[in-house]
Amino acid sequence: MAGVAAAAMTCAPLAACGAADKAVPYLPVITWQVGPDRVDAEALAQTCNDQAGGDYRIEVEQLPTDVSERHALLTRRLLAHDDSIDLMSLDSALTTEFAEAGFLAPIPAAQASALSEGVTPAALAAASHDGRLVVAPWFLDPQVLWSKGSTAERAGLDTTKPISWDDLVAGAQRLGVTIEIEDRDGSGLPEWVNGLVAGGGGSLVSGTGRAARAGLDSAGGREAASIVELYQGAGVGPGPTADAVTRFAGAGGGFLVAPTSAISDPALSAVQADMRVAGYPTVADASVAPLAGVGLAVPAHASDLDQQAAFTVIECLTSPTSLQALATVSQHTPSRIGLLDDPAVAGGFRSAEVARASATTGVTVPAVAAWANVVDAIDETWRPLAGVTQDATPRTSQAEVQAALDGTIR
Amino acid sequence: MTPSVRSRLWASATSFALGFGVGNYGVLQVPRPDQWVWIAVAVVLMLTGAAGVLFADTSRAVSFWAILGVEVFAVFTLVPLLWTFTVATTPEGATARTLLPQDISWSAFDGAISSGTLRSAATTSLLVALVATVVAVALAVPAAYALVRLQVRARRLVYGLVVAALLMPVLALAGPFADQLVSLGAYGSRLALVVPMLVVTLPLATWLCVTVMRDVPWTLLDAVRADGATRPQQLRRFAVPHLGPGVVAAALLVFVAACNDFALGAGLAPDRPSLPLPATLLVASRQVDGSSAVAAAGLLWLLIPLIVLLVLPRRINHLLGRSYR
Amino acid sequence: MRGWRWLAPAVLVLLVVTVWPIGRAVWLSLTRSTLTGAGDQRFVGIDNYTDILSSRSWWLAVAATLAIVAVAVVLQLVLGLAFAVALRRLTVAWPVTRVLVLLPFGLLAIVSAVVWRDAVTSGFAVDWFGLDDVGPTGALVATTVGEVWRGTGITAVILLAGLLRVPTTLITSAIADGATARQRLTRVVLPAMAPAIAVATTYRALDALRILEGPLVTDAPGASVRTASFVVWDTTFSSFETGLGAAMSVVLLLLAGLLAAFLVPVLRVRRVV
Repeated sequence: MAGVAAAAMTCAPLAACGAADKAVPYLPVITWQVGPDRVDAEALAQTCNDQAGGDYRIEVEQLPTDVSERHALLTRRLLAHDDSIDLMSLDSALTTEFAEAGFLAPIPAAQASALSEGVTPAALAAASHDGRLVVAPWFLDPQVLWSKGSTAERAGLDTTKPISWDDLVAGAQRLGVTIEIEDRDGSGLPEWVNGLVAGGGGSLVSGTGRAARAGLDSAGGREAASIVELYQGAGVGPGPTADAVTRFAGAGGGFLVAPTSAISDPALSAVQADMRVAGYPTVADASVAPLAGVGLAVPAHASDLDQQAAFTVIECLTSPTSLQALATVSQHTPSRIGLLDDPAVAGGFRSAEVARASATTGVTVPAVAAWANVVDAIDETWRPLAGVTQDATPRTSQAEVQAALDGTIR
Repeated sequence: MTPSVRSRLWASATSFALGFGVGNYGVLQVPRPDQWVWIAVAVVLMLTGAAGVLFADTSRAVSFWAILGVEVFAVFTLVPLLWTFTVATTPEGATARTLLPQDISWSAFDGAISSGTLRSAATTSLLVALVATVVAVALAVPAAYALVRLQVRARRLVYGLVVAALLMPVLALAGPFADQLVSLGAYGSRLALVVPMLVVTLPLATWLCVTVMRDVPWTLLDAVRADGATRPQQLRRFAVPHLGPGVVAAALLVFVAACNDFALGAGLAPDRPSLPLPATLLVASRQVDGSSAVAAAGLLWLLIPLIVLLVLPRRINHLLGRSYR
Repeated sequence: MRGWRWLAPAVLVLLVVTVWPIGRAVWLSLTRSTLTGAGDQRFVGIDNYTDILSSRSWWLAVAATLAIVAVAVVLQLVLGLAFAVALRRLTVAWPVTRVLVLLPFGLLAIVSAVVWRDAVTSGFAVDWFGLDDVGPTGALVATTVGEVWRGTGITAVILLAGLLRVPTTLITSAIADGATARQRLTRVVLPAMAPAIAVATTYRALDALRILEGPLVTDAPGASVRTASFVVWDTTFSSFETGLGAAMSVVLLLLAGLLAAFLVPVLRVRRVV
């Protein structure tokens, strides 16, 4: 609750209170809505609370895990000017929609330059709208290829060079292990498709606003569908699933396509030490990793006082100390990528080299307001994976994605 | 053989055959413990059959078809309710797989009662339904009086409008209402739900009150007036005893309908605290152990219509039956 | 016109709360707009309507909805009539049956939908009837049966009221004339009950048209059967496309109107105040 709680300050003699009332220090309570990322938000909030002394107090509130539910709930709360949101961990995919809807408070000019300093271009673009920073960039994880122990070598894959999907699938099939693809919140499939299309030289969506065009019925789209078809036909895994990490840790797991942060998952504690990392599998020649992350945003409807406090909180959450914790504890790739060179981080971050390379070559989801509807359209046309064919799927999916972008019936 | 004896024998045969079929299917196809349910139903049906043969030529007016019908009716009504109870009492982390509860745990009921979200949702539902019912009944009673007792031009048109509003798909209005509330800045307030809720309550209240008014012995009012009764006396001697119970029953039905409305509440409220109970249950159903929570909350919520039904069983049935006519 | 003074407040309020949103729906349906205001909002004329009316998925949804309405109404009428006949004869059980008959209708539709879905996806019906992964369509069928279960009681109450209006003298004289049970049913009882059956059919049909909870709890990506109400809900409150959703709402209202316009004269529904 964004209530303003008076600090404990007793004022016994009534007569003396009149003037003193104004001087009572107020303690803004900042409710921070967090998503299902791997950040230990409570710990970060605690650190910031301690540092702040009495300037503010952060309270963490959890949003739904499922991406559609989270999107719907956040949208409804913001439409209702819900005062239980003072700060949000906003999925980078939602920046455009929420900025266009006028939900986001502008970042004070004084802070904007500090927040964008050293941030990768992709992360900066994912936090901006119309050339202005609307969200504080926080982390943007590239997906990487995790493997257990010597699985990659045994499968005949050279992890020092980019591995293609073809080789990966063939190797896994030979060894009889699975390639798990992580999908923590329901956005796994669209991100996969987006990455594959981009890897094939196309782009899922080009243009902006209602003029945006879907690009699935193209060479890139067919390339993407052919890889899904290959993966599915080889029977090397169930596709993007919520329990990919657990399955990877199990006996049959060999590879895991997941963000850098996956390694911090408690389900992997047994195999963590033995995990190796390689770049995202390639479609053509280049490795184009899906990039997805979270920025910190302040709702436009919050009161000035709360906004002020929230931006102070952002300052703390984007401070080097907080980002170090973000990188070393939860293994998220900070948007301020230079931090990975920091000696304090270098030892603790498991995928620094790959992450650094992928952060520049990777691709975020298209910056269109209708992205949430595109997610539904892709889910609708690419599931079940067994039904995907390179001849039919790109065409049917093209129509649905275009309808989602145009706002027409699907 | 008289027709009624033949009819009873036919009823017995049907009942026996039905019981035999149920028993066989149960024994052969249904695993325990639900097998016992099938066997119990089979035994009851076959006993009915036997009784039908034994008392086939009784002189009393007993219809074994009716007994069979009521038995089927009871099974039809109670099995899903039993299943709801089983789902509600399934322990955390388990999934109910049998109709009979295996391992009764009351934690879902505890959770439903102590959950802040469900409590605030229930408060919203009750509050909005209460206000919307009071407003609707206050408007509906005079309107129904006019429709039944007074000469009104376009009476059929007005009544047609009421019925049309009663039967229209309310969901179609939820979108425009939501859009309106957002542009007014009132989206997310509890009281903002009351006006849209009148779409549900006002036609229903008018429609039920018309039935109430039609059943009132108006000649009595004329007699009371002829006696020279003052307004308060008319109210006390005529309106309260003859109109009161019907209007109360109608109001209770309207209240229950408003409490149970789903589409408007789900569309027009974002989140706690203004999301009404039925919509909150939709959200809850998607969470872990959601079905138990939903079933438990649903059974608790069922107490409202149950109490209404237990207090005025005859009047409610009468009112509903007569209103549709 | 003394009567209008009594009637005016209710009629005015009713018009405001229905005509206002319908008018707004018509206006919105001519625009391409979102609830959030994201994306450009613009006037598109009848584009949304041509879009809907030429969409295969919309007409499939309408067809599925009408099929559900037909099945639900027929089942409710048959079961309701059977139960009404039985309940009427067994007067001793009235104190219990009067409560029992309306209890399912009191249970929230969302609760009924969730437990009926669970029954066929993971619950007792799987073992009883050897079901194997019924999918979203099977779950939708189950929730529709759940709606039939909820509505049968109220249908029985309506029909029972109609049944009680059949004069007993008519039946006794039919018996005296030597009419068989079937003749009594088709020649005496059903004709006398026709108005009640007509009203029950119309009311239950329009009620079945607005079923929303079952489709909501059973929908899954790639589901092959969707209902019109669900599509309206999904467009308006998941995709937040208010313009398109409003156009669908208007079409849905017209659909309900057409259904009523078909049923009322066909069944000769007569109900004058």
